[in-house]
Formats: sequence, structure tokens, C-alpha cells
Amino acid sequence: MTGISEHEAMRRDALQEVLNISMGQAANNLAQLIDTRVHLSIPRLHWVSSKHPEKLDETLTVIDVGALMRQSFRGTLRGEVVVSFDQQSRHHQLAECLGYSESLTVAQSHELTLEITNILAGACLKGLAEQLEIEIHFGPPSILSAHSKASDYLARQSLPWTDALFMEVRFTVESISMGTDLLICMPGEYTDRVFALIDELLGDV
Amino acid sequence: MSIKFDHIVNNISMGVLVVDLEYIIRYANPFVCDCHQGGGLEGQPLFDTFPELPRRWMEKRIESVVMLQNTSFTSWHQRPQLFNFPGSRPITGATDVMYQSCSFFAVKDESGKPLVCIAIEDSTATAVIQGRLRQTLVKLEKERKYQNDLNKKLETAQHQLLQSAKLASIGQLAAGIAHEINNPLAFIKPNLVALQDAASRLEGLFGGYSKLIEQSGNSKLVSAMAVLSQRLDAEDLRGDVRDTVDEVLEGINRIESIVGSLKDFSKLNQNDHQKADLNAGIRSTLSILRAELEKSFVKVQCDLAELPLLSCYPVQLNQVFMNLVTNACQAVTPGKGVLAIRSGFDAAKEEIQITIADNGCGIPPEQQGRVFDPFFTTRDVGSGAGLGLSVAYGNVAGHNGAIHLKSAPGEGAAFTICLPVSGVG
Repeated sequence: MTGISEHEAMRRDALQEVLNISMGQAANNLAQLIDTRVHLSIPRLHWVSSKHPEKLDETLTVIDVGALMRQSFRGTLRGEVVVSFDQQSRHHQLAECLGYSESLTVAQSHELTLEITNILAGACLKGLAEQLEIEIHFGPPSILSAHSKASDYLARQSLPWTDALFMEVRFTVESISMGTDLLICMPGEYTDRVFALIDELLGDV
Repeated sequence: MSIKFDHIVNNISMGVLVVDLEYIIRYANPFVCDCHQGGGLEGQPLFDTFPELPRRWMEKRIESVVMLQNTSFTSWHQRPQLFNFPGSRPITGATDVMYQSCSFFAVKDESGKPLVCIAIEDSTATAVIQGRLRQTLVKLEKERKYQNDLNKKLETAQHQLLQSAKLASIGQLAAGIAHEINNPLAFIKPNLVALQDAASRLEGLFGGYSKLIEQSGNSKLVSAMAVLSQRLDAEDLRGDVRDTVDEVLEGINRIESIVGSLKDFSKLNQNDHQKADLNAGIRSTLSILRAELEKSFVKVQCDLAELPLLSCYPVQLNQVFMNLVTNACQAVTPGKGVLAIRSGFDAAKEEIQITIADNGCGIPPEQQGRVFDPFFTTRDVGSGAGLGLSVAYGNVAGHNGAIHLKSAPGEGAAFTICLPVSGVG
């Protein structure tokens, strides 16, 4: 964190802490739903600029090529969650827990992937919303690409933001060796709101 | 400002259905009641009222919504009709069912008991438009493929045209050479025949003189003639003259035959459409290729039945025979091949059938569909342009005919040309 003030560093540490707690809660809720142990990694925060899309690839090192889903959220904070299900992702093994039969049609498989996106995005952001004492609402999830790397996909788009905050989380279900990556993305102006909320929390402390 | 939310929910153009965790309907707005075509849904079991609902999936969805306090969604893309609701355009619509996108979210009743609200959005208009767009895309893709095929055909036709032009030039050249050779042949052959006759008469004259000298009893003359005959090797000379003239005449006959075949093949002054005997074309082709045939084949079987005259472009069909026989030459082990050419007339089908078969290496099944493609060749780079069979195919197709291939690896190949006797032109 070279080049940032002590106050800024404190804000970022506080945000990291809030996220850590949120992911812990999210992991518990998900474990309860699918009845197996779930692990969410410590979120990694990235401040990215759309002026240098090539740097996205250097930044988002964990996320590889996979099926890309997205879901919008709105309320006090606004942004999108991007979920990447890599080629070896075994998320289809969660089908039974979510009421699907063993043999899935293509449409059912897509619906299941979208629902897992919704559950993961919901769990992660609900935790954050509770910590920050705000309300967040979700739009329906949709498929971005059947086979892309998140950084490549974003680099190809004409992006409507200049700076954004990306929070990278890895979701793991050890019992089925499943790993999926989430990016909670917020454009710059909503990052300012996050820090305003963090400032309020710090003020309370 | 006080707002009557009941009024909003009753009038909104989307379904609102609330169920409790025992799957009993606690509320259904008029949209849902109208679509179900039966009121009084409150208090009814959800799965009895809507038996089309996938029960296990629905229970899990409701459970997860309550547990995670998270809105859940379904889209018409993956699940077009969660509820069997009729379409909203019974007259002008393209579908009689309603496409739906649904949201599930947790609510509570007045006592704080958890409930789940299902909001049902009519997505029929979007689904129908997207369906039409998809159909248009499929149609466009089909048309694009058709255009590509057309371009390929155009390319093939262009190559064939080029080849035909080349062949026409070669035909003209062959006809020109045949004409130029024919001119000196016109006086060489009769002169040679006259020379043969003269030699024969000279031989007779010489024999007569010898006999007269012997009968004259003039020993001096007989002795002088014997010395002269010995010195000039008169006995051998007589045989040599005869044999030489015979050999030259045989050579001249060969030249005459080749020139005749060249004329037949190129149809001197007959480049266009005419009635022709295809057997004559086969024979002239074989004659032109005699040297090649001798190198490649140990046996050439020719079984040519009487054929009706075909209204055709003989130069083009001769080119077909030439290309198929040349291919056969290259397919066999030199000096060990057997070539079988058969012609016949199928009266029932009213078509002439000509089969050219060899006992060469054959064509693998995976290549059989491509042998008539332009530039397809199995030969080494530079050994063949891969146009021979393509040109043959084009020329036969131009006569409303077809070429069929029967082959198996190691068992040779048989090309059968079928030409309708109605011909062309």
C-alpha cells in the first residue's frame, strides 16, 4: 500500500476485515443449504483502471478460462458479480441438493449454474450488506460467456467505468473438490460510498 | 401520501403468489387467479392447485430462499413455463402458452411467520421476438452456407471452364498437327506403295535376267554374273529391299492410324455438338494412349457392345475416357495391371453405360466422396493437378449424366459413366 495515506490504509484494512467477516457468514449459510463444508477464501481487493485493460490479466491471476455468469446488484451499493465456473468445476454435483434430478438437460444445467451464481452472489453480498447495515437487491443472473477468461472478456468490452473495485473470492466445497471464483465489482463512485460507510463504522468504533 | 398497496398488487400485470412453508397458498393476486381460471386459491395446497410444478425442485427453491433470505430467479430461457398459464394473445399471438420469468423472495405474515412470494412476469413478447430472431439467424446461416456452396460451385465451374479452354487449345493443336502430317502422308504412302510394287517388279526383272543368262549356256556371262551377284550380295539385297519397304510401309500405316485417332479425338472441324459413337471415342483414346497402356497393363480387356449414336460433345466425352484411363494407368503396378473397359446400353433406363475398371491400389472410403473435387489429389506434389476426375465429372454432368465410383483399398477402382441416350442439345 505504498503511496496511500495512513487514513486510506486504515479504511482498506477495515474493508478487508468487513469482507472477511461477511465471507465467514456466507460460508456458514451456504454450508447449511448444501449440507456440506464450504470454504470462502479471504477476499483479495484490487483497484483497477479501464484505461489499462491489459493489466486486468495481471491482476486477476486466480481466475482461469471458464463459463462466465454475471448478476447485478443495486441499492446503497451498485455493481455486478461475475462468477467463473472453470472447466473442471464440479458444481453439477450440487444438483441434487438443489432439487434437480441426476441427469440434467442443457437448459437445466444452465439454470443450475445460474442458481448457484445467485446463491453465491447473494450469500457474499448479504453478508457485506449486514456488516455495513445497508440494503442490497439483486437482478436475475445471466450467462456472459460459455467459455472465457474474466480478464479477457472485460478487456474486450467497451467499459462504462474508469476505475473500479474488484473483490476476488474463491468458493470451495472440499467434499466434491469444487472451486469457483467470484468477482464482486463496483464502479468508482460506489467505492467512495463503501468507504463512506466504512468511515461511519470506524467512527462508531 | 398514502398508497393502497392492495390496489397496486391487484392491478399489476404480473402474477403474485404467496405460499407458506407447508406449501399452502396464502395469497394469489387476480393475475394468477385469471390465468388459473378459477378463483378462491387462498388456502389451497400449492401442488394440488398447480400440479405442473416440479415438486422437489420447488420445495428446495422455497427452502433456499427462506434459509438464505435471498431472492431467487427463473428465466423463460431455461424454464419457459413454470406455471401452465395460457398465452396473453389468444388471437394475434404466435404461441398459446405464456412464457414466464419468476422471482422467489422471502416475506413474513403479520405474525412473523416466514412465507415465500413468487412474482411471475409474462415474458411471452420477449420470448416470441427472440424465437423469431433465432429463426432468422438460422435462416441467415442457411443462406450464408448456400452462398458459400454457390461460390465453391462457381469456383469449380471457373476451373472447369479454364480446363475446357485449355483442352480446346490442345484439340486445335492436335488437329493442326494431324492436318500437317496428313499432307505429306498423302503423297508418301502412294509413292511408297508404288515403290513396293516397283521393287517387286525389279526383283522379277532381275530373276528373269538371271534365268535367261543361265539358259544361254554362255559360261563367261554366267561366271561374270555370279561374280557380280556375289560382290553385290544380290540374294540378300532382294530380301532387304522387300523387308525395308514393308517396314517403312508399316510405319507409315502406324502414322496414318495415330493421325486418324488424333483427328477422331479432337474431332477436326467438329468441335461442337454432334451425334457420335462413343465406342469410336474409346478406341481412339486407347490408340493415343497405346504407349502408356503397354507400360502399365499386362492385359487390356475391351468389351464394347453396339451403342446407339449419342447426341453429345464428343471432344468432352473423349476427354472423360482419356482422364479415367490415365488415372487407371497411374493406379496400377507398372506392367502388372489389368484394364477392363465395357460399354453397353441399358434399354430400361435408356442410358449408355461405360465402365473403366482397373486392378490397382483402389480408393479408401474416406476419400471416395472427395475424388471428384477440384484439386483433390493423392499423388505427390507436382505429379498431378487433381483436376482429371473433376473435369470428367463436369463433362459427364454437362451431358446430364453421372459417374459412379466403386472401389475398395487394394481391390482396384471401377468408374461407371451413365449417359442418358436422350443426349444434350
